Amino acid sequence: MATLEATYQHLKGDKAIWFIVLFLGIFSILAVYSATGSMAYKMRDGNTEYYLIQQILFILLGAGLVYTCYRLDYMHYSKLAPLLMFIAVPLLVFTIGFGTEVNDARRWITIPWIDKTFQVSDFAKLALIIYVARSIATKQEFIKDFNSAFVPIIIPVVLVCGLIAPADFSGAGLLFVTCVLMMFIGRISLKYVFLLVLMGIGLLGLLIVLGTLFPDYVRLDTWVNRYNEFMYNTDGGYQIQQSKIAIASGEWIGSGPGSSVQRNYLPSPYADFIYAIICEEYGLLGGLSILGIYLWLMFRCMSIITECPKTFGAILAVGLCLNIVIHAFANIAVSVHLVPVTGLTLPVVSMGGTSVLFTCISFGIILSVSRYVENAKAQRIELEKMELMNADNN
Amino acid sequence: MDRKKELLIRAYFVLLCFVLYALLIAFRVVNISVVEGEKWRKKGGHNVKWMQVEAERGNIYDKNGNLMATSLPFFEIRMDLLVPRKDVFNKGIDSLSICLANFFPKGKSAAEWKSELVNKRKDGQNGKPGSRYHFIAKNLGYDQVQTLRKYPIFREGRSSGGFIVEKESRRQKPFKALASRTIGSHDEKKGNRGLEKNFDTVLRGKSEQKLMKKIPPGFWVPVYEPSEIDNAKGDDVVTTLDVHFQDIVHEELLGTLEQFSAEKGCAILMEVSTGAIRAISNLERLKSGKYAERWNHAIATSSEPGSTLKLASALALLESNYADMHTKVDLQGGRKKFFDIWMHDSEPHGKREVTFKDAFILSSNVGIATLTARAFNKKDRREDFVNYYRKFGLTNKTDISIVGEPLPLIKDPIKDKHNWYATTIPWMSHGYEMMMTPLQILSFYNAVANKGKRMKPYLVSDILRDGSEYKTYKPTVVGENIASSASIDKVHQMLVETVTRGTGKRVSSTKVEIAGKTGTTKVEYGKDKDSKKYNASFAGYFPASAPKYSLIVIVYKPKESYYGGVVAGPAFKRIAERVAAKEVDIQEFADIDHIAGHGYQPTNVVGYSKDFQQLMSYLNLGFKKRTKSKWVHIDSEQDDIVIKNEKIKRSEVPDVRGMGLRDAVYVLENLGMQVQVKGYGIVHNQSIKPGLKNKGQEIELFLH
Repeated sequence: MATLEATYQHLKGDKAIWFIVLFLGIFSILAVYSATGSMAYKMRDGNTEYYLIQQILFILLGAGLVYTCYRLDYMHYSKLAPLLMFIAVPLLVFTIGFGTEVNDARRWITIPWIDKTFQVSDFAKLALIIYVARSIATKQEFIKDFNSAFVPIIIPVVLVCGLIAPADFSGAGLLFVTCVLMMFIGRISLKYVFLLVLMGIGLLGLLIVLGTLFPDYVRLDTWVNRYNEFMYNTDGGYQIQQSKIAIASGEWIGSGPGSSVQRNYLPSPYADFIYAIICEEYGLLGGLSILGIYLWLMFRCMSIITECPKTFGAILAVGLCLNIVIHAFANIAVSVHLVPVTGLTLPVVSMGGTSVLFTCISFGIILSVSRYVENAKAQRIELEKMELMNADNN
Repeated sequence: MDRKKELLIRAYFVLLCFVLYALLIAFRVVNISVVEGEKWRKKGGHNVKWMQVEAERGNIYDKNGNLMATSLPFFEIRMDLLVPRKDVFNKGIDSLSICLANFFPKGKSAAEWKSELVNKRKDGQNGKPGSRYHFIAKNLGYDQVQTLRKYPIFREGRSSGGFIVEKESRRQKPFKALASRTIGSHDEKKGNRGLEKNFDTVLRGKSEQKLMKKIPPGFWVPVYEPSEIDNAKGDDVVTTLDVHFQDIVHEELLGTLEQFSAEKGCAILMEVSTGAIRAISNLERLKSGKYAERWNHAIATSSEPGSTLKLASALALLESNYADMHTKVDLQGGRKKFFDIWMHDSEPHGKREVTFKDAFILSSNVGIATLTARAFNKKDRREDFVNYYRKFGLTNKTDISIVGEPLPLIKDPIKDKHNWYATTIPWMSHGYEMMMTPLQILSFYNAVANKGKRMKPYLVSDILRDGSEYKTYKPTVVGENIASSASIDKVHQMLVETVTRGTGKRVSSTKVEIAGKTGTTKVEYGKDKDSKKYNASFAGYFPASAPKYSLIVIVYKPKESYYGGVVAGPAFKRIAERVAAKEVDIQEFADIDHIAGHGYQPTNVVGYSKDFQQLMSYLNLGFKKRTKSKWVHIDSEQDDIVIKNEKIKRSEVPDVRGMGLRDAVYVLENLGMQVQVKGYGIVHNQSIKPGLKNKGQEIELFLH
């Protein structure tokens, strides 16, 4: 414990965010363990440790990534951004053509030598957010302009979201919303922001047309089914009902870790519906804490941008934070039947290899920014002290 | 405005939105958990549960991989009429009705289908039960289900189209009556029998957990689409049986029983060197006069063995050196009084002094009893006599893997002293005052044929898991040397001469050399002094010079004749000849050059590849296995014999023209078709054209 505390003391950057990462990491191991209990029993001859160990390994690897990205000066990300975009776009095109199908969505490519599937859109999202943050920061002088600011920022957003959308419509939508919010915070003229909202609606219309023309490439029927189920079935479909049963049976304090019954009845209790399982095992208290933790992350990021002297750092941190929190809220909203079933994961907590890792990278970058902010603040206080001393001397 | 300030204001606006959204979510969670809590908690767990679903039962094969018992899947289609959404249902109902009417041409019309489905759906919406599990069709094959699955509404699947598929398996024996009693039967309610019972845990496999949901009025259906094909599967059991031999044994036994109107009969064919049972047949007369496999007499029915067991007393006499082949004995014309009881030979013959060997060959009860009594019927020698029987292995069960084998009843002078009489040894010497099963008798003969090495009879050679060997049962030696090889040679000589010039003369064959012993056992003599009821038996082995198979045939209560040599003997002979003919390496008399030299050329023959391989190599016709196909087509082109693969697809009616009946029936019934046969010989024509869709229909074969 002493070493843990020493490490914690040693870490710079926002302590609260470090705590949030640690909390989510531990929670993810607990939640995945109990949610996969029955799956492990069915698929791996009762070897319940299999998924647990896999998740622990991912979380450890993720912790390493958090630390690495945190150590790296965040300004490097700005320089890397064009290169990342340069890799991401062709990969997305490649995936649409040759990707591996998982749950009849072609979002994955299999990395040949380690034979793990890897969701390209996770990488592309990160690349896009960094790139947008960079563009907004460099264009601050003339940010209200249409041709020199708005257009060059929006083109890559539309491109990447458009490439992700056919296979992962909800993911693309959330990414688009994240980018629009970043642009909004980054002082883009309000009329263009409204234009973007209209564009988003237009894009949706275009996709529906494409979906009817090329049903093999766009999962239109799935969206329509989900939408219909959401709109016309007030109690929700089978999955939603099971999710509600899970939430309700947790009552206030939950049935205890690993004792979920509903995990047996929910189709993917370890990913899409993990929030329901958390509510069942840890009760309303646990469920609301998770909600609170993500909201707390928002507040901490706001404090980073308040303190951050540089626009790039501020926009980058808020963009990454928004991406995580929007995902989390979208996932939770499905479990509580606020939005149709989307198939999104709960960042960090859900079992799922690469998405956990990319979320960890996001946290690392946020922490890197916060470390810089802390240093800057310390320097400023030092400076102020010196000025005060000088003033005293004078 | 200050840039930083503008940025922060906008950021806090976003934050505010998120806080509000988080509050909305929190409100929903609390609402579900607290306000609606009771409703959801009530719903939980009641309508869904995990249920054990049986794995697909494993197959039973004969030693060459022929299917003896298998489970064929059948499907039942039902429809949850409340599942399809209004637009889907209304759009698809007309075409679905037409499709269904076309699919079941003898069933309802399209209009009937439509009104049935629409009304049922309406009933369901008005709260009447039954519409969530509406019956569509049953006894469908997999292909038919795949067709139905493509129909409008149905193609939306279970969750949007209400298409429910249920699978059931039915146990089938492709060879019908052949060894059916030994293969046994599988019935969840009545219990299993035969190998199905003994290897039940193996065949059953692991059952699977499946999530089932309850739908009114109380059916349990799988929540997720059932995997119709890749279910868990039990292990397969490979028996030692050989369908070809089983066929021969069954047919000859049946013929004999019918000829003599016998009550019942059984026959067992065993491989001498291993104890593997190659064929086992049990037939008994039903009230209708037909014969059927009803009870495993060969394994489970004990009776007095009679003269076949003279082999044991003869071997004991030789082993103890109290008699030799040439020891003289007085037969007293075939009638002698032992203490106060008369003993008769099977018929009066007037013979007096003969050798021990001749007494055996003539199956003289008096002769054998006199010698045995002289040697062993003394207070201090009785125990020795029974000890020989113990050493021969006659007092133990064979422990065959079928339930119901009784322990042989062989008296012990000490343990059974209240039941032991002065006449016990004379009567035991020719197989009375004791009870044994046919298999127990045969095991003893097999040990003699195997030069004194006693093998444990067995019926199962392998257990297959996922098609590859998982467990193998090896032949087991249960007695290295039941007697000295000199004594074994002598009894062997007696068995050979019994066939060449003794009571077994009718068994003598020009095609295969047989050694064996007749048995004519009086039954129910206690009830009726002049009972003319007998069991006729013949036990032995062949070819005598290098025994490969041992065989026993027992016919219970035959009419017209009752001598073992007359009733059971000829059946033994025919089985031995036919088995020997199948086994190329024990065929001693066939003239190969005679056949091959005349340039035999097959034309348009179809059959089992391995059979052809064996036949052709035997005939030196240069058949090289150029194909891995199980079924081949053989034709002559100029001077060469041409072999082509015969492809058999599950979905199509195969071309069985040119096949022998057994091959054709095997192929067709394995594909689920019902076969009717007319004529004899090779299949000349079939009632359904090859290549048409296989719907498990009835097919007629014309042979000539």
